[in-house]
Amino acid sequence: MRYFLIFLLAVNWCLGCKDPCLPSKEPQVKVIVEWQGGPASDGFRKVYAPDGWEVPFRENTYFLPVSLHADSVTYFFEGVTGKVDTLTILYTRRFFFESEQCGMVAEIENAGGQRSVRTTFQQANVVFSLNEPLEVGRRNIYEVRIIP
Amino acid sequence: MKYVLFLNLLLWGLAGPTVQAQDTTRRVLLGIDLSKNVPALPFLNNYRYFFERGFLVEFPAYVPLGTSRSSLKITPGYCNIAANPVYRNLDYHNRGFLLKAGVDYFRSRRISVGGGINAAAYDEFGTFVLSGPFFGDLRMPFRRRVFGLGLEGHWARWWYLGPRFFISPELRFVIYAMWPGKSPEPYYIPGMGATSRDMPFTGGLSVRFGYAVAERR
Repeated sequence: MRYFLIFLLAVNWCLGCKDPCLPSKEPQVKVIVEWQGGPASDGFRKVYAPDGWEVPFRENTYFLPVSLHADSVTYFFEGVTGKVDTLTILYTRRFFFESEQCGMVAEIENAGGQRSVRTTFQQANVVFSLNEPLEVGRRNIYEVRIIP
Repeated sequence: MKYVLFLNLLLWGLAGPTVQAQDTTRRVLLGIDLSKNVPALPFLNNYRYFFERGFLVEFPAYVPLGTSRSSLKITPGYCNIAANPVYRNLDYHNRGFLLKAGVDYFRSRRISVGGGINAAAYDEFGTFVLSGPFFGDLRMPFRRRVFGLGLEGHWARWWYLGPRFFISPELRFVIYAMWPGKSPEPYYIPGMGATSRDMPFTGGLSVRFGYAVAERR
């Protein structure tokens, strides 16, 4: 019985690690580049938006802001060789009042009936997931996997 | 700046002697509500049950009902409050009117009980802001008109500080219903108080300080 209670407490603690709220600000899409080897900084000189704003490199990758005002965003990836690839992420937005604690939140979903990315990379896939049930502590997962 | 201004004014000119409350000796009692005028109160409980800025005015009129123990109380009023920290990313405002009608009964010189019906018609409004450091903030206006109806019961104790002045705590409980009952749940209902957001009742403790005017003859 004691171990069962400890187990319940542990599960409760792990679930408490999850972000209880959907984003109440611009969501960000994490870039995961499937290189033959090495982190993303080795492969891209810079990542930037059409207006020239450069996405900062942090936590060994890039986090691409998603506009709350439009249903798509485009970024350019400039490689060390000077080659520039384009990535456009398409999505649908939904805004709703989640709770007193969370306030008005934004939910980003796959664009219905059409591809979620357009790119000049060899391949790219985007994931918009509210929960990852097998990984406690993860919620609001926005990722784009790129194969250059 | 955090402030709460609560005015509790008397309506003169209604039938009979208008009083703040009327005790068993038929003396007129005038008072202010200390609990709504103390600036420190909004800081309690992380603002959850208090507003950040507020203007409340109530005009209670007491009309004696034949006996020396009971009186009819009618209270129209107006409120205009702001409560920014209540709902995340919403600057919340609440503006509207209230009307209370009920009966107060003095069981003795020191204890009174009462009850009645409360009504409120008000607007809740503000702007939800989803911050966008890169593409710009998204601002979503929020406005709705709400009607509330409640049943109130209250109990008050009266302590006299000498022959004239008194201090009187009052416990209050209101069961209410709202139209429309939309999300987010109403934060504050004029005349009934801050809601728990989860259950349809409000409650509270008021502490009034007042002065007993000489008996009218």
